[in-house]
Amino acid sequence: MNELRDWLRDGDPVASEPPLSEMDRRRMRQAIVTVGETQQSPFADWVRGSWGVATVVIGLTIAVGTTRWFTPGPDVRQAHVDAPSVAVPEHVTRRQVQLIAPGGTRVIWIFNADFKP
Amino acid sequence: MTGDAATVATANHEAQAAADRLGTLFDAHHQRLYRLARRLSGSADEARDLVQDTFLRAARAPASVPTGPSAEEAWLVRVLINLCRDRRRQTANRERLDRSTAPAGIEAPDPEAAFVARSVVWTALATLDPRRRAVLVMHELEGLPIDAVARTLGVTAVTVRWHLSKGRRQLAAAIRGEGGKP
Repeated sequence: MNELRDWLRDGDPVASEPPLSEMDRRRMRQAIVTVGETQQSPFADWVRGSWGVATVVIGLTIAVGTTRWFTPGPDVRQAHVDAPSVAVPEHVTRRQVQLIAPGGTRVIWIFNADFKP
Repeated sequence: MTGDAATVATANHEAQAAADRLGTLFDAHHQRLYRLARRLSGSADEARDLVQDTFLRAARAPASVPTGPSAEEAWLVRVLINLCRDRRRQTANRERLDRSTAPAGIEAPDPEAAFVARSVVWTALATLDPRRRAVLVMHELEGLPIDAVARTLGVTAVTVRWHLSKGRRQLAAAIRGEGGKP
């Protein structure tokens, strides 16, 4: 195999050609470093992304909290509803109020205008 | 916003650190990589492109480059060999296309006989798969021991010996084929 090694060395382009020139070296280095500088690191992406997500979550929380704060609960709202829940003709004066407890229990009061105790 | 400013500062700092590391990486390994690329490719231009593409791959995925001189070098060499393979595949496809479209009977002009005699082994080497070629170059020309070649390429010593044996046989066969021509 020494013969093969000798043949390889005889025709070795590295031995017969000049090495990488200084100009090529500088140009190549500059190109690589520039790409490295412009490349976003995964950590920076993650930091930027997490700031965005945090901002959106906080904004949504404030919006939902504000809405719920100024809006009455479902039981109170339904207690104030004076419209009948079913289509009732005008001449019938029956009215009803539905109350729904947090556990899901539903209480329906029906007002009868004709009722005389 | 303070958070944004901090994020920008962190990103700038990271970009600068990545650029510094790339510069150091290039300074430490470009000569060795160029020599290998030159021995694996057909021309100095191709070797320069290969070296640049190898470092550009490192620049685009800095997190994938391991730390430590030998680990860095091994990573770069493997990327270089993979790039050689890609180019070889592309060249083979192009040549196949050219052969199918070119008129038959046209051959490249013969270079001078002395040059052919000297470069016959390199011509034969060019026909080998890039990984096998890299094994031969690293062991026979650079004088690296088999264990070091195996570590650099991320394969076992047995695989390196197998590539050496097959590569030598392929080279011998190619040389015999060339030598048999009048």
